[in-house]
Amino acid sequence: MNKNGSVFLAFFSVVAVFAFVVFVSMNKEMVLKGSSIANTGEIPETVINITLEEEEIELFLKKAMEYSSFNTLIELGNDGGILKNQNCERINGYVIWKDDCIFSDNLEANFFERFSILFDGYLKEYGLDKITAEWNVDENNKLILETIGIVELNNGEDKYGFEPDNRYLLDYNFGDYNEILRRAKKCIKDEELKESSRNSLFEDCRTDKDFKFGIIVEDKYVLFDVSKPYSHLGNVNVKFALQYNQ
Amino acid sequence: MNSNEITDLIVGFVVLLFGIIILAIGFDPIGDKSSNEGVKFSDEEKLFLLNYLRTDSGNGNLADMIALNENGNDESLKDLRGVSRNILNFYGFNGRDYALRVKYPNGDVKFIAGSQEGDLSSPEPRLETKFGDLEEYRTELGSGEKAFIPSLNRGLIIIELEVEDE
Repeated sequence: MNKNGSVFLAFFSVVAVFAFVVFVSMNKEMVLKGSSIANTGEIPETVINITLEEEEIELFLKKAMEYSSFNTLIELGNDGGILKNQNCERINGYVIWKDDCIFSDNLEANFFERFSILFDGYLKEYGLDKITAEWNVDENNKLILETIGIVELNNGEDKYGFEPDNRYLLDYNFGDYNEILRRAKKCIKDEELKESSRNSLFEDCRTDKDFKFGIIVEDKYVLFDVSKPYSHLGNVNVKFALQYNQ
Repeated sequence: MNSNEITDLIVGFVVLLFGIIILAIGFDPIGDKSSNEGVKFSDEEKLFLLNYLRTDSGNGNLADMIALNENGNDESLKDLRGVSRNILNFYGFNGRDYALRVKYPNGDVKFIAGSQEGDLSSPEPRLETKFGDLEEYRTELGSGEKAFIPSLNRGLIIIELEVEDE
């Protein structure tokens, strides 16, 4: 073989090897696509991402329910349990409980009306507009809050929807309002019965074991600020004023 | 064996060697390297963050501690930092640097814990952050993994975990 022949053979060999590699590569691609091996990593990644996102949303909804409930109880207590748009006479910000201006008959519905505003505000900020809440009362007369609706998640071209499983039992007894009123009235009556020896100590209320009574006498009213702890988030106060015949 | 045959032999060996090298390094001109494309387990940080927020601190969970700290004081922040430091140090992130920060709806950023928080005033953190100095490192959010919880004062609280790349 002469020199030209060698060079040709070398060149031909390189081209042949390259063509062989391209052929093998194309064949490999076809095998991978046919068997979907090429997409093997995409499925677990999608599953992991969606699962984590779902977990984050569930956590957010749980906390949104807790914090909305806590803030609603505070707001309701600051308004003495009256309806949200009810106009009542106040003294130093305390609603004077008299006639129709007293805590509503259906405190649960009153609570939920206020709760919805706060809860929806959180959801809107987070971008969960399709979720809403509803309420029920269980056999122990405790209020239960539940989310309804479907959250849709997008991961590239994949879409995934799930129904959040959030159920929150409100650890609060709305019967406390009646109990607080009963005890406050009794304390005022006891004080009024003291007549000349009256000293505005309201002993029974101040030593109450179930509630912490804050009491201020203002003109012909007694301002009550009655607090009770709510979960680990803080105290919930019920504020109101009652007439006091000095 | 004449000189032409020797030349052919050498050329043949070179070609053979070239072919072997090509096959050995897996030269694949049109192959899509997608068999493992998209498989990233940086989700570790997200998973950690969610578990961290759910961790019971004895008086509510960490998410509650963070939310309550918004209206808290130095003492509540100290408690939050102490608990967080223990959890983060225990996890360790395989020796990588990390920083945990919280941003409240009023724009206030609190540095909660970090791998170098004990001596933050001296050495530069190894985290490749956008920050030019340590003050920003402590008072601004970076580009780490983020989670959201509601604020007791309305709005959202952002919790960020930034971990050094492997």
